Amino acid sequence: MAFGIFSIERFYGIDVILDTLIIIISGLISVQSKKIYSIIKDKDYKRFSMAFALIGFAFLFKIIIGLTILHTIEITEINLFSQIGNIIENLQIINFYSILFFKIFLMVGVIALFLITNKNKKSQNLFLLIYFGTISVILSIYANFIFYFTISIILSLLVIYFYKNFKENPSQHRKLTFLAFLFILIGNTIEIFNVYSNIFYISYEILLFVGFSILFTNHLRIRNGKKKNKN
Amino acid sequence: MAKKRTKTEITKDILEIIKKKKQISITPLIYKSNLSNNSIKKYLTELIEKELVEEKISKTKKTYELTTKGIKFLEDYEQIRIFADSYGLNI
Repeated sequence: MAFGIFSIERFYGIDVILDTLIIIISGLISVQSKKIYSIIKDKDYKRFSMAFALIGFAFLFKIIIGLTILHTIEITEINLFSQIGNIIENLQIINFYSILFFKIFLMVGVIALFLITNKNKKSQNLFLLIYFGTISVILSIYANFIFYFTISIILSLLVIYFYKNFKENPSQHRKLTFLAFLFILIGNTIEIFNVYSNIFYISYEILLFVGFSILFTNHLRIRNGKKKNKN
Repeated sequence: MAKKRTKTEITKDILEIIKKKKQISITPLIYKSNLSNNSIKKYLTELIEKELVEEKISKTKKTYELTTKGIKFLEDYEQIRIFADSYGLNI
């Protein structure tokens, strides 16, 4: 006999598919940056690669969060209630740690991107940002919006940087990067209000996917740039 | 005022000069790359270590040629440049 213990409350599992695509895109950018590091040996590219790898891992944990919500439990024993109780308890533990790792990896990844792009190598600034990042992850266990609020602030600084980068010397590549991070920022800002309605979560997931899709378009254009140079 | 070239840009310029000439000695390389004698020697030593350039010694002079890895670097350079440009990174 099969029991559906957890209902599919949010986005009917489509978020799992979108998150998988985000992982693939993050992975591709990470590999691309790692390849550049292997050619020019500039450590910023190694750090950039690691930042996107961390973002990819964060979304892997986000998928686990989604799967623990979507899980359907198979009950065959007579001892029905204690079995359900144990499974729910285990799923809650996995769910809790997945949320924690999702937040830590995403926070560190975004902070790393901010430090690399702003050429900020002062260790004091790094420790200060990591400190505030950790505080926001811990506090967000009790109030989820704190995490998305902190991420939105760091993303705002990244968006300002990419906007200045675009304005300084306008090009299609710079514009795409700016737009991608703008969508990611809007998505995260909307997610601050997710306790009020599921529509905020759905909007967050769609905007995030649009942002990463733009990054993917840029990735393909960079690859094509290489091919054109070969011809 | 012209923007100062980065290390990667200088490397690319040196490799392009060598690629164009196929085989080149140090004097025209100094002239064409707009670098001092000491600088070009440092770059060439590094490029030989990284196996991007090969040194050929004949009876009369030393010449420099691009290796397959050097050609690959020039092919990848455009990709590196656009990537760096997109994210505002240095090259």
